[in-house]
Amino acid sequence: MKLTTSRTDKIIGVKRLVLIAVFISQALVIHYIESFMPILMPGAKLGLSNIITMMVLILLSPLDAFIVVVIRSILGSLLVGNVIGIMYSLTGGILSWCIMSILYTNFRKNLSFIGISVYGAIFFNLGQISVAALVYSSIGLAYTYLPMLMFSSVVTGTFIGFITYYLSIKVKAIKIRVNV
Amino acid sequence: MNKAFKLLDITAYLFAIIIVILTSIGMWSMARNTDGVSLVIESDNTENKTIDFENLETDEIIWLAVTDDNIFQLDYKPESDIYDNIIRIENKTIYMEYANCPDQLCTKTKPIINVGQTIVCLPNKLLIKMAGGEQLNEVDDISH
Repeated sequence: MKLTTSRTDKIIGVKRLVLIAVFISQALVIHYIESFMPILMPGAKLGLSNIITMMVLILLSPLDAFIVVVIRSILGSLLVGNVIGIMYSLTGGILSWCIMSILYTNFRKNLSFIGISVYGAIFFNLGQISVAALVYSSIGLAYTYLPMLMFSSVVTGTFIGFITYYLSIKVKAIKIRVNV
Repeated sequence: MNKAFKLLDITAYLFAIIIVILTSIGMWSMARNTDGVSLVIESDNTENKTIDFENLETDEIIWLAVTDDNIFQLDYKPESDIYDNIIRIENKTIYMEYANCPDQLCTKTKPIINVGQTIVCLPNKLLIKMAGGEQLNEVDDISH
């Protein structure tokens, strides 16, 4: 199901560049819309941008997913208007990308998209809380926020995993073949 | 079960539960921490008295006898009749051993373990509490 199958496509190539740019813009739009949704507790976002991260992992390569995550974190926070959010989104996104790419490349036989997505959401929140605890020099902050954040990340991770699963079925059915 | 799930998915949920358990243990150990903790006695009749916990051995028992004029710190259990309240400090826990008030609520109160807990004897106008401990936060709130 990979979109870039030839070897030159993987390394260089306009097709890869355009695909990464399209995914980044989709992630930015999703991030912008998500900023309007009400939050139940501080830091517990719905994490819809992780759909894009997982789709890039599936359709392209983990390196491309890393590029999408980094650029989406920086530009997304600037777009919404919350510059301090770059710090939290970046660390959470990079940590969750690490875990998701390791799990996806090694454990795909027995671990479905839902499991990868839940792990990604857990580590995203862990990264955000670690940065917050460092900034405010208080480990008690981590102890108070983490239990509810774990619960919300499990719920949202399952939801995002379901979306990714059904989306991957539809994408596979389209049978995309693009010639450079 | 839905076709989207596979076998090892349950490890993700177990991992979240493990993290919740670890944070609960961390919170509990932080509340039980007794560095720089002191016992403070505030009484309307006599002056306030503070006792530090740092130089206390674990098997050392300290008795505090409270009367109208004074608070005595003793090493042995004093006679019950002549004092208003007797407090025992043992193993970093504070017990209200004896009180001559008619309702006896203070002697029935659970012994103090953590910082911030108090035992009050209202008829004798006595308040003992655990104070101090490390500062968790220098600021109360930050907004961007």
